This record gives sequence, C-alpha cells and structure tokens, in this order.
Amino acid sequence: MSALYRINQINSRVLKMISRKGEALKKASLRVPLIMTAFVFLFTVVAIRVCDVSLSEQGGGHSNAYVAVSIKGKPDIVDRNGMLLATTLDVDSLYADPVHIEDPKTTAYELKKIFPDLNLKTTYSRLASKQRFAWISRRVTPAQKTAVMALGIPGLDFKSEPSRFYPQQNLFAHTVGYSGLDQRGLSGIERAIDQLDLDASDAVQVSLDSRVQFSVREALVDTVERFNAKGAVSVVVDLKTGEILSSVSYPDFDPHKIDLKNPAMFDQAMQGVFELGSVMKIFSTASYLDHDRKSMLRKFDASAPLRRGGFNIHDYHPLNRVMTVPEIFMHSSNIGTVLMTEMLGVENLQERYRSFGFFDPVVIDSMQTASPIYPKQWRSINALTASYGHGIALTPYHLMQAMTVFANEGAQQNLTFLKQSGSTSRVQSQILSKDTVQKMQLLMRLSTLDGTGKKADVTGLNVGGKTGTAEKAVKGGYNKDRLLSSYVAAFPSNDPHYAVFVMVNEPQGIKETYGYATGGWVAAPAAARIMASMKTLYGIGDADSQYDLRVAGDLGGFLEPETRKSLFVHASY
Amino acid sequence: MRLNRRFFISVCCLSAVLMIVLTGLYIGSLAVHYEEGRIKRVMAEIAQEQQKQRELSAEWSYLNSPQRLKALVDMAEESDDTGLDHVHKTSVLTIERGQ
Repeated sequence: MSALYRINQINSRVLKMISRKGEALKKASLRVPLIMTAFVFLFTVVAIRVCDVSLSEQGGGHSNAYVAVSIKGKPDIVDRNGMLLATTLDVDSLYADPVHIEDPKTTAYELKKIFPDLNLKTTYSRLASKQRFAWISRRVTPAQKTAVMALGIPGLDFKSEPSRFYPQQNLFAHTVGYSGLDQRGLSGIERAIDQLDLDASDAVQVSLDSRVQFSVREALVDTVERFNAKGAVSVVVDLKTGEILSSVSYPDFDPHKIDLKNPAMFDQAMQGVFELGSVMKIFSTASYLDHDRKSMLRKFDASAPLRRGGFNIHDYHPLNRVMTVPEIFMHSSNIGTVLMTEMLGVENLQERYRSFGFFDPVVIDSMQTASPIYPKQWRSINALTASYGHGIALTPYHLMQAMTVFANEGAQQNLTFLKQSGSTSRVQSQILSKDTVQKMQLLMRLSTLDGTGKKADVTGLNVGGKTGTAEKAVKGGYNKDRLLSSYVAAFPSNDPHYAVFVMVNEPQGIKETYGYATGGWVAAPAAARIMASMKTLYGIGDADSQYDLRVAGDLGGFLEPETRKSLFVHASY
Repeated sequence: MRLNRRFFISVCCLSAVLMIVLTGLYIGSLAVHYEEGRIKRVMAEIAQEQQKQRELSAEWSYLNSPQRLKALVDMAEESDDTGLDHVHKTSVLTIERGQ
C-alpha cells in the first residue's frame, strides 16, 4: 500500500512538474518577442542617434572648414596701374591678463620704454585691475613685439588682428582715406567702399594714378615752400571719361596715425569751399557766348571802374579802354565780365550756373562734396560778383566737373574715382553748344599764349586755361593780403583730354615774382610742372602745331595791333 | 514556435543589416571628418599664403612708391661725384610708330 501510495505521489509530482514546465514555456514564448521588441527599439534609438551625430558632425565640420576664407574682410584698393594703395594685413596687438601681472608698476614703466606714446597712468590702472583682459597697445611693430617678449613678463601676450595698411603713406591720405581699428572706413574711398557690397577677394581699382599723384604733390610742396603759403590743393581729371587721376590736398598726414585735431586732415578738395575768383570767368563768359551767337562781336567800355549795388568793381590790371570779349578774357577784366553778364541777364547766369551744378554738392560715386555757398536771394549784385568768382564758394570738384563740358562737345560728364573700362557712358545733359565750346577753347588758349596764364604753357601741349586770384573774405570785406591763387587748364586746347586745377592758399609774393602772388605767378607754373610730367608719363605727343595760328587768325582781329603782332609771334613758335 | 523562430531570424537579419549600415555610416562619417580636417588645413594654408602674398605686394608697393624712389635718387645724386645729371622730364620724347 505504502509503495503504491508513494508511486502515486511521485506520479502526481511529475505531472505537476510537467504542467509547471508547460506554463513556464508558455510564459517564455511570450517574453522572447517582448525582449526582442525592446532590443529592436533600443537599436533603433541607437541607430537614430548615430545617424544624428554623424550627420550633425558633418554639417558642423563643413562650416568650420571654410572659416579661414569666409571671413568677410575689406578689399584691397589699387590704382589704375595696379599699384597697391590699401590692403589688410594681420598685425599683432599687445594685451595683458592683469591677474597674472605680479608687479603692475614696474611692468608699466618697462612698457613705457618700448611704447613712448603709452599713457603711464592708464597703463598702470589697466595692469592693476582685476579683469582678465586689457589692451595695452594695438598694431605693434615687429621690433616692439621682440622687445616685449625679451622682457619675459608673464601676463603679457599678443593677439593677431587684421589692420589696414597704406604702402603709399601720406601720398593718398585724403583721397583713399583711412579706416578705424575695426576696419570700418572713416574717410575717403575707404569709407565709400564700405557702402558697396564688394567681395574681399576682388581689389577695387580706382582711377587715381600714383605717378601723377606724386608729381602733383611734389609741385604743390615746392610751391607752398617757395611762396610760404598755408597750403595748396590740386585735382587732375580725364575730361573724356570723368576719371579723377589725382587729388592732392596739402598739408597731408600719415593715415596710420590718426589725430582728429590735426588740421591737415581736412580735405580741401572734397570738403573745402572757396571763392575761386577769375577762373569762374570761364563759365560766365561761356554762358554769355552761348546766349547770343553774335556776342563775340560786341565791345565793352572798361575805361573806368563800375559802381554797382554800393560796390566798386575794378580791374586788377586795368587797361582803361573799350575791350573786346577776347581781350576781356585774356586780361581777366572784372569790369568787362560784369558788363557781359549785365547783357546776358541775371536770371540767365543763375540758370547757367545751376546747370553747371554750382548750386548742389557734387556726388562722386557714393561720396559727396561739401555744399557750395551762394546767396539764397540771387540779386543783381550777386550775379555780377559771381560772374568773376566772388560771392559764390565752390569745391575744386565743382570746377572740374564743369570743365568736362569742354571735352564732350558741351555735355557734362560725371566725375568718378573708379577706373572706367571705356564702354560705359556717363554723360549728362548738354549745357553748351559745340560752337561755344570751340570759342572757349580758343579763348583759353589765347589766355595762355598771350594773357595772364603765360607761365602755364608747356611746349607741345597747347595748354588752354584761366588764372584766378581771389581775396579771402574776412569780417566786413576782403583782405588783399590773403589770397587764393589758382589756375585751371584744359589740354590740348584743340581737343581737350585732361584738366588740371591748382590752388595755393595765402601765398606770399617773392623777389622773383616782383612781389606778386597772383594765380599767374604762383599757380600757373605749378600747373605747368604737373602738365609737363603728364606729357612724359602718358607719352602725350605734340599737339596740333597749327592750332596756335588758328587762335591768332580767329581772334587776332579782336585784339589791338600790338597784341595781335605779339600773338602771331608766339603762335609761330 | 515556428512563428517565434521566423520572427527571431528576421530580427537577427534586420539587426545585422542595421549593424552593417550603421558601421558603414560611422566609417563614412569618420572619413568625412578626416577629409574636413584636411580641407581645414588646406584652407588655413591658403589663407596663410594669401596673407604672405598681401604682405609681399604691400612691401613691393612700398619699395616702389614714387616718394621712396625719389628719396633714393636724391641720395644717389648727393653721393655722386661724376657730375652727371638725370634726364629732365621735358627732355623725354615719344617717337610714334611710322614716323
């Protein structure tokens, strides 16, 4: 019994075990898919993350790879021949980590020896501060860097930063201008190019010519020294294209050393407005001639000074007789010019001056000159004085833009600082007739051949131009001892291509000029020197040798017999 | 049971494929990373060369600036005792072709 009972017990246990295993297997068959699903889920998460990391790294890597070249810098500036005028170079700047400076006082003294311009007090306060960064000196030279490193002071280090460099130094100081430490243009072309969306890799080619610029500056420096003048300004323009070849304002400055208190930083060509004196007779005479075709035949009584609007109008070199238009122009008669203007009409002269652009600032590319100064109410006396260049103040660029009419058959050309390819036409509206332009070319040549501008003549160039001597306005009138002596030329006269303007500020008469400091004695020789340089630099061949005979033939009939004879003698050479 | 085995095999296959794809992706991303580093180095070299080029052109421009050349000519003239003078600009003529 007991054996059977035990067998039964064992059987029942086995059966129980079998039923438990079946249950376990059932349970296990359910768990496996669950675990697999979990693993698949985890793998999917890992896969997604791997994809994400791989792809995001790739994207990030790309942006870093191009950092070296994608930083937008400032483009180089080169002249019309490719000579570098401004570029960006990496320059070291000295900074300090004041926390690591053990002896700020000694360090400041040591640095002062290397950087004499350093302010000792400010440097000490910077070095003694609890900040982690302080600039000590920006744009240090390699020699200064070596000297600082030789000190071996912990806490001093260098940081390389881009900086503008001007290899021509003060030669283009006003025209090219300068940039701040952040490379932002603060004046001149440097400022203008910031407004254009230019690629840093492409250089900006300007119309300026460093060779002409140098010749002009040399002529101005010598003239200023010779006549003990305050300064001088000159602009040279290609009249056909409107390209500015040179613009010099002297005294000038080093664009690497900016001092806003320095008066030499004032650009007389762009920002200075001047009463230009008799050079304005070019435009008043042209306006008169253009108004009436028979105007050249008239004569004007310049035998005595005029009294107009409470002012006395007299001539600098009075002939005290009746004068023809060519005589008025070549002898620069104020009386004759005023009488011509009265015949032209006050409103007509005003309208002509407006069309020449004398009442608005000149816009050159994205730069703008100073606004001209002229009477708001244009009364008769204002027109009369404006006809010989008083009572209206312009920048040299106003004058040069107006001069372009003589090379473009009476149409005005916009001035530009950018080199032109020659295909783009920027001619504005017609201002003078072709006939008037030809007459004015003859008159300007006459003025140089046998008039006030003799000293501007250059053999083979057929220089035509006009002198100007303006007294400076002071409180209550004009000061005879403070002059603005100027000369403007267009050459060659038979087909003008270039224009040169020179103005000298307060020259003093010298023994060689018999005490005179007028435009003919001071500015005309300087202009001649510039034009002679241009003749060599540009290989300008001799101009039409018959043109002077044509001047004598066409205008000789308007002159006194003696003057006519002298003119023919000059024209024959 | 047969269903489970099929499921098991398919999951294994999927996992294997996924592993291969992921390994490929990883190797690919490593290669890209390496190439990017190389591009970065080349770009840095180009930037350095450009900087050197700018420095040299600035130096060339400075050395050839008319002001400096004039100063050198003046200096040479001062130390010259041969008595020779330089050609004046008005003495230079242009001979045109055919003349």
